[in-house]
Amino acid sequence: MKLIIKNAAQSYEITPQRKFAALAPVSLEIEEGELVVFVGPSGCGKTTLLNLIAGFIKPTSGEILLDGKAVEGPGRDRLMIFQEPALFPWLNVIDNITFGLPRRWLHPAARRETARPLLRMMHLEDFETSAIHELSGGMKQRVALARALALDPRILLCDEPFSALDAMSKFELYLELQRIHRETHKTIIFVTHHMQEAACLGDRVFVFSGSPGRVVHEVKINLPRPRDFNDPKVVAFAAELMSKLGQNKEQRHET
Amino acid sequence: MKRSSKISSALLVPSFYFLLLALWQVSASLRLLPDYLFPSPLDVARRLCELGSDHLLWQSIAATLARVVIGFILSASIGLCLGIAMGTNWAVNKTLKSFFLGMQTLPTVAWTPVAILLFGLSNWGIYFVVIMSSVSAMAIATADGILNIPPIYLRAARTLGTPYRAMYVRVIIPAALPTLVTGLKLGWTLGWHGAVSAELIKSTVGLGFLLDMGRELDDAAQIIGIMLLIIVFGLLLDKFIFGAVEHRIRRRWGLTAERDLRR
Repeated sequence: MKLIIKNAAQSYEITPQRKFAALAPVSLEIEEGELVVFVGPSGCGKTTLLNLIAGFIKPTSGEILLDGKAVEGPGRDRLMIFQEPALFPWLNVIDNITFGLPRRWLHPAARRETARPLLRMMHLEDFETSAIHELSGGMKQRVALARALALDPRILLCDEPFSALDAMSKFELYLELQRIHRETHKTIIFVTHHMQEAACLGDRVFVFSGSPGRVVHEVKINLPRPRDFNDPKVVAFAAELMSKLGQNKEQRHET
Repeated sequence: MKRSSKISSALLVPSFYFLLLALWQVSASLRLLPDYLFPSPLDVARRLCELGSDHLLWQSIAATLARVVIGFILSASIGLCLGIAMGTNWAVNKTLKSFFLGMQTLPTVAWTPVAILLFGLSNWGIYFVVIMSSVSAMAIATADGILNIPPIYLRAARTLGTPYRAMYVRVIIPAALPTLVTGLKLGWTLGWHGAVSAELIKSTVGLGFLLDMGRELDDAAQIIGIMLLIIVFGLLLDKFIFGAVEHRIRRRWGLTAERDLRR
């Protein structure tokens, strides 16, 4: 499976005369099983590109190809998790996780059975029947991850999923996400504005810059995994990413 | 410290009512007004016991409860359907909401003349008054509940591939449930008002009828006794049925202050 983005661009009409370019034409390729990070300041088009891949919006020009087929709309092969866990409070943990599984042919007990390995993987075995309001922020985000993984998507899209969490939960989830990636070999596209997060998680990092949003750099990160968030090498890479973004701004000011 | 404050708060409400009764008893025993106009709590209790030994009181309680329950079920079914239509269709909401808001300004008893004209003295007239007094509140609450669903729930459900027709049962109704139950609770209270108002004017059994009978017999003890009964029933049903359900749902949906404190 290969995701190819060919000159995809997105602009909105503010008035018939004025257009706002959220994303200038961008081309990139993502291989199966890669963990790719889009990083940049707010308004740089990274979330727009993620929404294009998810199929929530259609590109104004260009195309998004998954295995050579154009993406037409949202699908279960590309699931997104959000900054808010968006769990359903009227269901307990396991019923939240199985929410997306087809119901017509799966008995509830069988549905729950399919979710058990995921519960173990996410260290949620003891919370199978807990109510959502009993969970901490970090655990909620784990349930949200498990709910997406239950559908066995080919691509997991992450829209700043950890940015509302406390530092301790974040550190844990960085390791957790790397482990999930290693165990499931899923393609993961992770959007963040945090350079160190990008350096910690990404195989490849695309640095975005604003007005109009576009990719200014692509950086390969060849550090061994699992990477610790505070590893000096990760910090050094984060500094490099930051300086790339800075250079780009200087160049723009000079021209 | 916490324990003692809990005990004192448990005693607070009963002691308030005890004080109120004592005050009433004292002011009645001053005999400023004749006792057929201003009876003491003991007079009222005695009268209620007399009524209780007769079948009429029990029949009346049963009749009123049955009317409210049946009327409420009908009204809730209509209110929920209209509320769902309002919550999901912009034009229906715009038009019906102003209509229902207007209807809510009408006192419940004002429906009774129409009910008598339409249904005569049958129970259907009372159901009609119950429905008309409570349906608008329930429809508006249902619509508001649906319109205020956090969009993230719908987005998450759509991402997870929920088909459009399954959205109502699996996401929209459960997500709107807290507001919906609040609406049902309000509807129950209004329905109770409607039933008693209708019985006052057009019935031969029921708590409202006993009130009217008390007026005809110049029996203030009976009137006040029945009023107290209506209040007690209303409070008990509210606390043990609707209040309890509402509290559980709000807790589970994470809407109570308790959760905010814990976070």
